[in-house]
Amino acid sequence: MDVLRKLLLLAGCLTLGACAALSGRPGTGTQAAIDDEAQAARARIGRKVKGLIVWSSSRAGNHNLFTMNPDGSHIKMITRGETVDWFPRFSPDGREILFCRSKQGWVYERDANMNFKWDLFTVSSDGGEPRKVAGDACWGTWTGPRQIMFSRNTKVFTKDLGSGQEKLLLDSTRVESLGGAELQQPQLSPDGKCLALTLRGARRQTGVYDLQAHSWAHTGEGCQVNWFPSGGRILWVNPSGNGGSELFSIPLKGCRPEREYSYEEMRYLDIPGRRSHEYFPKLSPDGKWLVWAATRRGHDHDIADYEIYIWEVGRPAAEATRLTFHSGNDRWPDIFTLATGGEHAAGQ
Amino acid sequence: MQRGNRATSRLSRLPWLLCLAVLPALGLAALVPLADRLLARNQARALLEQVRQELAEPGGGSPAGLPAGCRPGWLLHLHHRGEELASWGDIGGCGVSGATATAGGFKWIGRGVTGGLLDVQCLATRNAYLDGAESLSLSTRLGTNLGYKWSLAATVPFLYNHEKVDSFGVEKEAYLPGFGDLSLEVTRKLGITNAHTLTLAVTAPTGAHDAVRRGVILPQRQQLGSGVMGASLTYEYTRDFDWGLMIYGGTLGWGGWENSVGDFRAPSLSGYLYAGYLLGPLVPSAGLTVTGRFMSDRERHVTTMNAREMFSIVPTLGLEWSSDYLAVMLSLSTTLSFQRMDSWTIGLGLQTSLF
Repeated sequence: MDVLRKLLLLAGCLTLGACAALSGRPGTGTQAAIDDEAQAARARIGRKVKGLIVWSSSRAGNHNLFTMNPDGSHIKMITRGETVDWFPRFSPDGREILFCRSKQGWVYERDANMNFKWDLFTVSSDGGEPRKVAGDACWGTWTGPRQIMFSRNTKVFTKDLGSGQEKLLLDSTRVESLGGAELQQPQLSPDGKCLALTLRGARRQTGVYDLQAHSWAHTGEGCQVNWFPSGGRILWVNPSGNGGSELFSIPLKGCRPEREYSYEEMRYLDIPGRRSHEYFPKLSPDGKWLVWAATRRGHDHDIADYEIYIWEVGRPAAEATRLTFHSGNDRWPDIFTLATGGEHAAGQ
Repeated sequence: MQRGNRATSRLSRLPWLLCLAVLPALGLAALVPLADRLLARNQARALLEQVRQELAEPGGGSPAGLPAGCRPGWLLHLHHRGEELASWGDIGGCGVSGATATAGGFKWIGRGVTGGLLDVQCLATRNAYLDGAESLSLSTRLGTNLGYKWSLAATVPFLYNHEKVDSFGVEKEAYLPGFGDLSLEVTRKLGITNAHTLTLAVTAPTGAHDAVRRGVILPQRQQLGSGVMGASLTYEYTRDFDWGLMIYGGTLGWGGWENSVGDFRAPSLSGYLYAGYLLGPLVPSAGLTVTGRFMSDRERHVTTMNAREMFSIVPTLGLEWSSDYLAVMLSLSTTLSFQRMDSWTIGLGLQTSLF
């Protein structure tokens, strides 16, 4: 009995010690084979849409930005180094990418609201040397051809990239209904009147802030709120459904929902099958395509084996097409689509 | 002998010290969200007061520090609607994806493993009583989801119990290995983010309850099973934070009727609170379970507990490591009745999700 007792204790300590010795960073992973069916589905997508997808991947070490065609072909690494590059967003003309970069080495996405750990950079969508555009900032998006918006913990700022002038748009410590919450992934509505936000810290909600009426509409739980490009509708990730997450969407009137919506009414996309833990949704500028990443196991945004998907809006969920087949972490895709006959700086 | 008693006495004080350390930490952790809100509310109130004062002044305009374009009137409006807005609630989501499960007296706190068709947990625990008895248990818990809202699980424990028994005036060692009571549970997830769960568990009397060793029927705690059907109903609320997760829960337990040898396990009510902190791939956790019994247990028809023993608290410390395919957890807990420490439990768990 004594021996058993000691063995149990020793086994426990050794196992946990060995596990703890492993780093929390994601692995670089390996490329998996793509079967014929997936290849055919990707080819179908390629015939329907032209453009570029950018995303953040751990396949070359700490996360770097990669681009590929909407059919998953022509993968190209566009940033390098030991920093963590993530949350890439195409400029309105698709020529530049705004992204969040850690100041130094590996930083967890859980620390995204610790703005002192991050800076914002832009890089040409065909690669090149990144340029720092804002310090101590994260969650950057474009609000105009030369204007960006980003978050610094409880504050949201806009910045004119031409003049370099920053302007405070919202401070949650000065709005009682926001309760001093950390403001995550701010997204301006197409008409510039409403700000979609994920609150963390003092509040955990998703919702929309009316920049004119200065009121907050709590639209749901979950995270990662996105506007439809036409405005008047948002979508976000809710921890429910197949695989433990799904996309919800509701219409808005102004910056508020007109009424309360039922669970069934809010359900927007939940792909069938085992790889259905969906996160990081982003619609194309024309609103016709949705990209996101999904994992089959695990949840941690920057560690688990997420893969990038694309879906033609309005088609059956089963037609969602998987674009990446790599066991590294692939997250936060964005898609820039070309109108037929258009040209793109990155080239196709 | 005296030295041994002193050592035992010091040992018995240790868990109380542990408990004293864990209790305030848990209490503080539970107060963090409340403190956050109060702080934010006070800041907002101070600002509103400033707004009122400045508006009251002749020529008062937009107070300094307000966001660009922010009109004080709207802030005042929001202030008056504060209670209504607060009632929206703030259940988490998109957070740590915490997993919890209980088997063999072992509460799993951490990320766990998800994504397979069959969730498997193997938990090895050693329960040592201060009077020298001990019990080794290897519980296997198999669980699966039925749709998005329901899940089913079965737990099969294998026990190896050891006790010193008085056999006709002579103290002898008695060992009893075998399967314990099979437990089946069904869980319903509630709420839009599935943060609430309600679990009904039923135990079937598959383990021996009247085993005899050295010519003596072993005491109830050393038997492999209870000999009767039992049931429990558990409500649990998992709240996730940026830093980890907190779990609040309560269990109403019914140990069944008196069995054929006159043993009886009293109905009980437990409340628990656990907090797990994300530290890279590790999740250190601490928890406290408080249990009260509605009446005394009985052994061979004889009441075995006094009023003070009917109330117990169990402080627990845990450490989980997880990957996409495997999670490991080490747990340490002690059961303290009102008068003394009853037992120590150390556990090692492995979890995976197959297929």
